Amino acid sequence: MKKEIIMPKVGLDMEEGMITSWLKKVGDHVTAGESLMEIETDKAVTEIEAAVTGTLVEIVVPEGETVEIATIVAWVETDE
Amino acid sequence: MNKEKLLDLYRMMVQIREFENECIELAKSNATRAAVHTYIGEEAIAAGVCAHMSNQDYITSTHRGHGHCIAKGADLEKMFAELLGREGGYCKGKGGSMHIADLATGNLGANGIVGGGIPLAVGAALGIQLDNKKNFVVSFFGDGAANEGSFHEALNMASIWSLPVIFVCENNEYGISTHVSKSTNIQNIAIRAMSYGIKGVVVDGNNILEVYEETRKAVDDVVSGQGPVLLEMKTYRMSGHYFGDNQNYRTKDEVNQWKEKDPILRCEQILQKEYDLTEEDLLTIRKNIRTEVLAASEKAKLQPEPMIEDLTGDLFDQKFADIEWKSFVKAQGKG
Ligand SMILES: Cc1ncc(C[n+]2csc(CCOP(=O)(O)OP(=O)(O)O)c2C)c(N)n1
Ligand SMILES: [Mg+2]
Repeated sequence: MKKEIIMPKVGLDMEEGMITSWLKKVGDHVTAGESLMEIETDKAVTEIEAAVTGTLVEIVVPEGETVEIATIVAWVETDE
Repeated sequence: MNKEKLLDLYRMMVQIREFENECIELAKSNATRAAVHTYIGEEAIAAGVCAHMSNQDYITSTHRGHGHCIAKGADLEKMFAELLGREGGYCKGKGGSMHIADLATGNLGANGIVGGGIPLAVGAALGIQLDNKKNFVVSFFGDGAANEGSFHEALNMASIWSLPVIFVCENNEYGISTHVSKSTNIQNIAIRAMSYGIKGVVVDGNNILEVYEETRKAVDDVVSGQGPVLLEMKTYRMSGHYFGDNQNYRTKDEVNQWKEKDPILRCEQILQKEYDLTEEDLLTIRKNIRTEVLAASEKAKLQPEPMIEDLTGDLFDQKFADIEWKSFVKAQGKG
């Protein structure tokens, strides 16, 4: 099943965030709990962990781009 | 402990974990709006303590209260609905994560005020004593709360009247970003019981069997009129203070070390070694519970939001209910 990865809201007043780096490439396998990307808000840089286990099949938002919270930034094909 | 009992406790812990995992997903997408403090890593405490309680026994809870609420028998859809601000939530969607109360299951409520629930538990225990009932109260609170004046006042009052209350201090080593060693000058908070002449016990809060057994002894003590007990549950807050906390005050190594002491993992090891369950059995249980939890979340999402006309309803004082709310006026384009 394809599952979307979104720009997470990680602060109470966060409205947008920038992807500073992808810690996995397309084709890589990720396990739930593993760090997937690093995002920057006006407050800090935060590593975001994957919530599902599967293969990263598409990166929609590249490094350096800023998007609104809840925007789809990548897709994972889950193992289940 | 027999196999069915331990499996019940295991299922409860997994249910809490899956609820919290889903809360994080909801928070990420901004569906919860307010802060969400998860109970990940502390599940054995709520599960092992509440397993001794009936709906006539009360708890008071905290800002990190989902686990207590679920272990006391809350309905998951109503909980999700509350977090999502939906009409069918425990507070009609107007309270959120930190204000869930469920009188039907004896849950006197979560509390956003650190240490706020402890004196309330003493009041409830006094009520039970005055009514000559055999019930008891459990107050859950953190290591940070144990440095609030309300903790000391509550223990003192409960001790002089031998009230049927168990104080459960969940020492997860942190109060937001402050390690307990920087806020507290003693190794074991349990020794504070001595100041009030009551029993204090240090418990491995990540070991479900120990939590269950020590709570059983405490329940025997408090209901037989021997006065309150302070249980200090040693545990670890495996997640950030709230979802979104970047945790720059502790190392990943520290967190990873505690992942090996994950109470669910430890329970699984016991179930496999001593009760011959297979990894597959456990996986099936986890999958089924996950499906149930996600179904409750999906159902809650379909509920309507509360009506704007109900914004000031349910307020305690009619005088306040009549106030014209400024933000409301603005939202309607009148102000
Ligand atoms: C009276 C009061 N002071 C401060 C706060 C802010 N605050 C919220 S949670 C928290 C830390 C509580 O730590 P602890 O009691 O150890 O509970 P934990 O979060 O670890 O479960 C603080 C200081 C508050 N909510 N209430
Ligand atoms: Mg704490």
